[in-house]
Amino acid sequence: MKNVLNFTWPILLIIALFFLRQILQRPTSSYGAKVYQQHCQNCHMEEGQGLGKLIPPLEGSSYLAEFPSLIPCLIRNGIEGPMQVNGILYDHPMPANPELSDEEIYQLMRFMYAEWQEGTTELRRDSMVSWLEACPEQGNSLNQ
Amino acid sequence: MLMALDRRIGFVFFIGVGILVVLSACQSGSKILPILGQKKIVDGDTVFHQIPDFTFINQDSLPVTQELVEGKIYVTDFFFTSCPSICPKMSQQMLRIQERFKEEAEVLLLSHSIDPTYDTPEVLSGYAEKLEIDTKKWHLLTGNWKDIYNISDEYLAVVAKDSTAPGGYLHSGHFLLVDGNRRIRGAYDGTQAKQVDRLMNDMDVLLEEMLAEGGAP
Repeated sequence: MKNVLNFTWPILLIIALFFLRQILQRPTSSYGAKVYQQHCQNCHMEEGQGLGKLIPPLEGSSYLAEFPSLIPCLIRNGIEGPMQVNGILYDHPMPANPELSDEEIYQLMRFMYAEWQEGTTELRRDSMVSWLEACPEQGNSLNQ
Repeated sequence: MLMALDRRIGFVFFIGVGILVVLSACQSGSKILPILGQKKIVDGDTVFHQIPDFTFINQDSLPVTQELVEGKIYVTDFFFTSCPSICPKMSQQMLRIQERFKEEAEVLLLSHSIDPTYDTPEVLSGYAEKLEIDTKKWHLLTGNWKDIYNISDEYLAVVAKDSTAPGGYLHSGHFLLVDGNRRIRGAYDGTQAKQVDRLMNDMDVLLEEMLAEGGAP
């Protein structure tokens, strides 16, 4: 019996390590990631890379870095007109997402900034709420 | 004794190689793509579904008819430039096909706009420029809503005006693979990279079939 145990424990250890690796390697499955997949990914793509000169990237986006306070309104109300991102001019309307709650927008932004801005921008729930309160009624006047 | 064993191993090896050869022949040589759509029996012959003649206008305001695709294989889909839902994904996958077959003159891509009133040639041309579309290979088509709607039926694609759908149109994100006789040989989900991988493999099969039949498939 002891022999059997001696023989099986290394195998069990290997199995445990395998599962541990699976857990550690799992991509961020946060709530914000889920919101992103449902509402943003079709256009901004899996890795936030955007599409050609049609849809700007979120990954390493200069716009996200420079104007965090404008992003919540932009998500909620959409945006139209030219926009410069990483030196490239984009001019394709982004539709509004009126169905997203304040909390969903907050979690979405936390995900986006952690994933594609290396967490350099600190986001707080209360500042997010005040940014959203300051949104113009129809958010098309956000062009920079 | 040893000799007998040797011979037996040799025999097993021989059979094994034989099975492998037969299997690989089945895998590569004999894949035939189905012909999709309604079949009809006319005078005892099976007549396959064929895309009828068409005339649309492309991003350069030039007419595009069935003559452009004659003897070529093409991939077609239905989209619109202001589409907020699945179209960017479809365009991303179409760009993969354009890249993979850029040297292949026998391959064309046709994307029909299902919002032809908004998607004028100028709008389509702007879209093509932003996505770096090779407009010699990939044509963005506009025209009569009714004509586009009718041909979507022929391509077995789902297109409908629907005020509750994002952007006002309901459509399936399908890519249809069509052969040189305008017969549909495959339907794939154009939003899924894996299905588009399969489509590109099937395009290789179809190109081979076309070569084997000497030009026109």
